[in-house]
Parts: sequence; C-alpha cells; structure tokens
Amino acid sequence: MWKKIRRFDQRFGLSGIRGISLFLGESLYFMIALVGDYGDLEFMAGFASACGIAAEILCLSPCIVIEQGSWKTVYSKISYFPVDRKLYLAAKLVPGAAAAAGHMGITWLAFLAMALMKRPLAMEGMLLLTLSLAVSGVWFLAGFLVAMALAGEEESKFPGWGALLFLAFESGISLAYVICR
Amino acid sequence: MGKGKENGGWGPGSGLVAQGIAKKYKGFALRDVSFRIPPGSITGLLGRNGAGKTTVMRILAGHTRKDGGKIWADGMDLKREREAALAKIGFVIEGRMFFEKKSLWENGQAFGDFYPGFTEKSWKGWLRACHLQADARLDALSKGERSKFQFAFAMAHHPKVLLLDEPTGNLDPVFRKEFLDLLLETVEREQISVLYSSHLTADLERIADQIVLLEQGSVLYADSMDRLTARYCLVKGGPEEGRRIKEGNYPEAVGVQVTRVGFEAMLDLEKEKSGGPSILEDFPGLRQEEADLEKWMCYMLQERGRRPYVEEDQAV
Repeated sequence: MWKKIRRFDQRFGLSGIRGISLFLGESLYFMIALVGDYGDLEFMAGFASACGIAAEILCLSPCIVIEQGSWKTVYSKISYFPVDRKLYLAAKLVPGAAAAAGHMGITWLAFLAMALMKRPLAMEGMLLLTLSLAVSGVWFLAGFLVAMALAGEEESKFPGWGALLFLAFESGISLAYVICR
Repeated sequence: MGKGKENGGWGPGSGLVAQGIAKKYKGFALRDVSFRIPPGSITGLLGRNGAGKTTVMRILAGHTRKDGGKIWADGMDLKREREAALAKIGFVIEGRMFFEKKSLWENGQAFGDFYPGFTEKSWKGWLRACHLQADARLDALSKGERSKFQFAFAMAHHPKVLLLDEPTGNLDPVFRKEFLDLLLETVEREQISVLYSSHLTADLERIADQIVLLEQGSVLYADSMDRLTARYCLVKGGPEEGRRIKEGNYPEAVGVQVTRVGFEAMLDLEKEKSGGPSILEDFPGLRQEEADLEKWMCYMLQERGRRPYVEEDQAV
C-alpha cells in the first residue's frame, strides 16, 4: 500500500511552476542567508523559518486542489477508494520532510560558504538557527496534516482549515523567533 | 461467535450484505436499513427525494461514516477490512472524487493502481465501450459523460459489488439502452451484486431482480420483483364502486383514486386472501391489471406523505 500511495503522489507531484518557484525561492534564500546580518539572530531565524515553511507548502501543495471554485484535499478524494487514509497522511511526511531537510541543507551550505569567505559566525548561532528551523518545520508539517485530517471529507472548508494552516505557519515562525531570542 | 455468524452467514462470493445501517443527521435519520444482494443480481433502490437513497449509497461506498450497522462486500467487513472491501466495490455516485483537471486516462491510472483487478487493457476497453475519449479532461465532460466515465472506471477493476446512484438520469436514450444491456450482460457474466438507485422506474422494471423502497430513512418494502408483481395489482371500475370501496373497510386497498369517470385502486393480494371483507368478492365486475413499478411506488408512498396545501401565513 505504501508503494502505491507513493506512486499515486508522484503522478501528481511537484512540477512546472511550483518546481520553478521552489528552485528560485531557495536560490534567493541562499543569497540572503549568505549576506544576512546574524547579529540580529531572531530576525534571521524568523526569516529562515518562513522560507522553510514556504518550501514545505510548495512541496505539499499538490495534495490540495482547486476545482470549480472550491478547495478540496486529495485526502477527501481518496475516501471513496481502497486507500489506507492513515498511511496516506503518513506518506505526506516524505515531501514535507524532504522540503525541510533540503532547506536546512541550503542553510548549512550558506554557513559553509560564509566560512570559506571568512565571515565570522558563532557556532551557537548556527546551532540555534538549525534548531529553530527543525522545530518550526516539524510544527508546520504536523499542523498541515492535522488540518488536512480535520478538513476530512467535506468540501469548501477552506476558510476553516486554511485558518488552521495560517495558525501553524505563524506559530512556526514565532517558535523559531522564541528559540533564538 | 462463528465466522459464519459474524459476516451475516455470507462468506466470499456472497454479494452485498447490509445489516441495520443507521445514520443520524440534523433533521434526518437513516434507521435499520438492511438488505442482501446475491451475486449476479440487481436490486433497485426506490424512494422519493430525501428518502435517504444517496446516503445509503455513500455509506456503502465507504465515504460516509455510519452510526450503526454492518456492511459486508463479498464477505469483507467494510469497517474491519476497509481497503479489501472497497477494492471489491465499484460506484457511480455524483461527486468530485476524481481529479477534474486531469484526463480520463490519467485518472484511471492514478486511482486504478489501488484496485488489484484493474488493468490498462480493461480500462481502455471500457472507455471505448462507453464511447469516451481517453485524453479528454474530466472537467470538460457533460453530466451524462461523467456517469459513463465512472461506470467505465468501476467496470475496469472488475468489482464484485456495483453501486449505481441515478446512473442513467443524464444519459441520452440511445446510450441508456446500450448501458442497460451492457450492465445486464456484465452482471450475469461477472456475477456482480448491483444496487441501482433511480427514479426511472421503467429502467428498474427491465433489470431489477429485487426492490427496496425507502421512506424517510427506513425500509418500507424489500422483496423480489416477482413477488412484488404477484402481490400487488390494480383494479379499475366505475366511480360509484370506487366511492364504496373508499368508504368501506378494505385493508387490502393500498390506495384508491376516484374521479368523475371511474376509479383506480391498488390491492395487496396477500391481505385480500387473509379473510374478512374482500374487494374482488364484493365487486366481481372490476377490471384487474398488473401494477407497474411507478404506480406501485406512488400508491405505496402517497398515503403516507400526503400533506394538505396551506398558504404560509395560514400555517399553524
């Protein structure tokens, strides 16, 4: 079942404009991370977390579709089919975690480039930023899955579960800010 | 409890079994809906709008959660073995469960992967049989074509249970006939249990082996089509006879309609033969006719649901 769900996800996976947006967005983030002012660590943590969550949103966006004016989750569509719904939600961890891990990789690539450029950066700052990225990424991913499960079989519940997503987004960034404070 | 008892006494190859299905909504409740559909047989689900037909269909399709009762599809418990049971169920139900912006072919490939019986060859064959273009986008299809698409997809994975909710309502008469022929042939060949909900009673008269009549969320009648036609008949006569029947105490009269020129009544022949006053004995000159499904349904439901027309400002 896991393999079938992964195949199903890959059929409608990240492609086209979303893939390009992810690439351009992360490239821009890399450049800003390279020249950023790490003296203001709270700001950098909030900014890095917002970019990380945006990358997660892009990678998870194929499981939300807009059809005939209303928002619908793919999770609600599969309820008619012989798909293990809990396993489907678990499978969403793969693109979400991949986005978070990729974002963290780019952050560390920026740290490496800064070291090569002999720009000073305290180890404590690097670790705090990494921790804040991990916490906000996991927080948002969990929030996304909960929102999708709560949206359940209903259509057009976007304002409801969209608000939940926004809450997960905002609180994820706040967590990063608090960690680095 | 033995396995036989757990699944209602029906194992694999047993068709569709629904036992005491219940569902409560605000202002509507489905109560104790039970029926069995053996393999290779078609059950017509009848009822007026809002009687609960689509709710029953959605519960059987695994989409809507039931509050009570049990369902077995080909011996698989829909609650305990959800995925295995759903893999045996095909459906034509209104809704946007497929990807609207993808082609029919892509939709079939994506969702067909979850059904062990689905093959690209059968998918191609059923698309052709239903006169559908594989590369057409789902959101470009008309309502009738969407029914055809769902039917083609359902048949392509060789289901053991088929749920059809108003499948012919939007079809043109030519394909409707073709569809019913195709359905009869496939049901017989692949021994599928079909639950067929429709307001087109002529279709059901042609294909149904059993009838289940729902009224306000409960089963009002469930029996074979043969027993139904043997049990109920229409009688016709003059207006005076009609008035006397209406005023008399005849429990076998399911409904009586008297006009200026004559009367028509539907009789329950089981009650007619149970002793006491009898219409056929008291009025030997009446014309007897076979009741068609539409008239049967109207007579069965009209006495229960008749509401006098009251202007809104006069309503109490």
